[in-house]
Amino acid sequence: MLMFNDQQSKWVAITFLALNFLFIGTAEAGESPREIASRLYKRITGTPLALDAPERSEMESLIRRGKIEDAAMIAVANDNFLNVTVKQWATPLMHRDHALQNEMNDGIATIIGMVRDDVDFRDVLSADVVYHAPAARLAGMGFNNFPARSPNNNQHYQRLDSEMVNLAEALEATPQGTDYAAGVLTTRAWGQSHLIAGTNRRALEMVFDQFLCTPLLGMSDTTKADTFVRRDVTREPGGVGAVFRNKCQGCHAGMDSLGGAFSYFEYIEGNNGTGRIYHSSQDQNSNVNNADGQPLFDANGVANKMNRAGDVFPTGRVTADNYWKNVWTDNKAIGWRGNVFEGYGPKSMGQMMANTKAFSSCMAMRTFQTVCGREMAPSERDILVGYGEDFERKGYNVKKLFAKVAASPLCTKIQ
Amino acid sequence: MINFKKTQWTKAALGFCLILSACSSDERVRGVVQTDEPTESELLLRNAKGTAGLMNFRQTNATIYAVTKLDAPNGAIQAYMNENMTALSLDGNAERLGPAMMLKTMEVMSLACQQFIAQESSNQAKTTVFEGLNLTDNGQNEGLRQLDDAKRATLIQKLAELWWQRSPTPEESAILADFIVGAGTGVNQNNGAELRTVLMGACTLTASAAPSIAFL
Repeated sequence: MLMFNDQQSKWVAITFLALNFLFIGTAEAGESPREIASRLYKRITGTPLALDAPERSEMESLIRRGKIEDAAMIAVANDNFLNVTVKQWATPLMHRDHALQNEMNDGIATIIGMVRDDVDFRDVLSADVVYHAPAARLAGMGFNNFPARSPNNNQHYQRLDSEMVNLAEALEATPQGTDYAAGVLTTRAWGQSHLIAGTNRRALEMVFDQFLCTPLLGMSDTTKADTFVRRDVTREPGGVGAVFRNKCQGCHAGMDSLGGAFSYFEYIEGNNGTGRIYHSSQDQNSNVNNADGQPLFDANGVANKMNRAGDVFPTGRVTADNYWKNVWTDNKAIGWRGNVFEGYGPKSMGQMMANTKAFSSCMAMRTFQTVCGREMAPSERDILVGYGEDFERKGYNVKKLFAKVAASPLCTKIQ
Repeated sequence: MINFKKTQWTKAALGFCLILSACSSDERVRGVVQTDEPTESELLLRNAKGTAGLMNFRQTNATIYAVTKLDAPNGAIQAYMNENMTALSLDGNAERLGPAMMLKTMEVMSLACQQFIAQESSNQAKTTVFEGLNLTDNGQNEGLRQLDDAKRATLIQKLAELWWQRSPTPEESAILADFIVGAGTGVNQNNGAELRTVLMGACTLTASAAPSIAFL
């Protein structure tokens, strides 16, 4: 380890202080096209734009002509946009605790791949696709002996992370290989995060929370009937029926009606980081038990945990299939569209969710947080909606969304 | 890597910088939150400095490799990143900036500079930052003696271009020159290790100064 002597340490401190003093004093100065290009590039790729980088002259030229968004699109084409920025954007969406420092997984890879391939991003909640790095492609990049993608563990993606593989080059789309695929909602990552134990309500709650940026409490509507509310929810919490009607029912009425989409799913964790999604279409006769020690599925293929604690309110809804229904369609804030508000399984439910205005605004908001390094202020809400509408007009293209947001004066102070 | 645990001066400097950044951060937060329905141009003005945080851990990591051309993954850097990830900036948000975060960022930059200088000292140099300087202990007794005014000026110019993507201002050049002279005073002028220590200090300072690590 290299060490400074006391005298040198003093010089380090004084110099560090002096340099940053200078920076604070000059940060308000106007910017040249060169500085704007540097700023845009750093926002979008997370890395500096070298003075001799081939992108620089083109970006500066576009900036001089006032084409800031076009300049941003040049930065978007750099691999680090996917490897650094989109990874940062996708990571909290695909982990239970939403922490940014979490490891890579199939859900994150799928989002990165869809962005790279300019896929209509609404497909993220419904397409039969998952991204991985095939052995042949990895070998061509000089990486050998990688564990293949497996529904049972995350080793393939962990290795991509630890070896710092260029995801922009390595990822390839492949079908999930099931008849129930619904984009990231049926990836191993989503199962591990939200289909494990519990009653699968969390999986539905997180669709609202992560993809519509709407906490379930924000959907609460106590005027909706309790037709779909399951048996494990008491109708008299603390012996007071009014509490259920004025509080619990508000969320459960809509959550339990929509949550039916995940009825056929279970996620069981094994040892040493193993674990996988179980679905009754292929695992009906599995001899694995759920967290309650019961078989995973009943005779109808419904996960037994969906109907657990049936004695709490025996006349409540018994889940018998994977039917779902949206009883919250009069909630204008979400901006529901289309005419399909009921169906079976997560695919159709995911399509309905991704068609909402809230989905577009939510993706725009998450992009703003990632690119601009701050939360949007409530007073900026109208501008956010504008970004969402632009995202829709441009075919739900995430690259263009990032370019739009990065080029915004709110983000990069470019005038 | 520099042993910061023994450098009280560095801690004091970091603390002072934090106070500075906290003051400017406060101002801009008040501007945004307390105003009803501002126009976009008003927001633009109020947010003019409003998004300056530290690069997050992913950006810091990617920047190190992009700038130094070190082969990825570098074992020492990745081990440090894995251990200290949560102490580095997670999301670049200026309001979550803290002294520990700045210290860790400076530490990882010093480690990057150490690896960088090791690479540039070998036969596999990938940049021209230290071109014209003999960084090795090859018995030539060149050490710090090589750093005359002209070579020092070139070094400062190249370090700034490398980490800041621009030329240093005259003030920045003077500050870095003072550092190189000051840190090189009272040590063996013929020793390659002393030269590398001073270069690592200069590299660390440019790499961990705001123009390099700020997420603007």
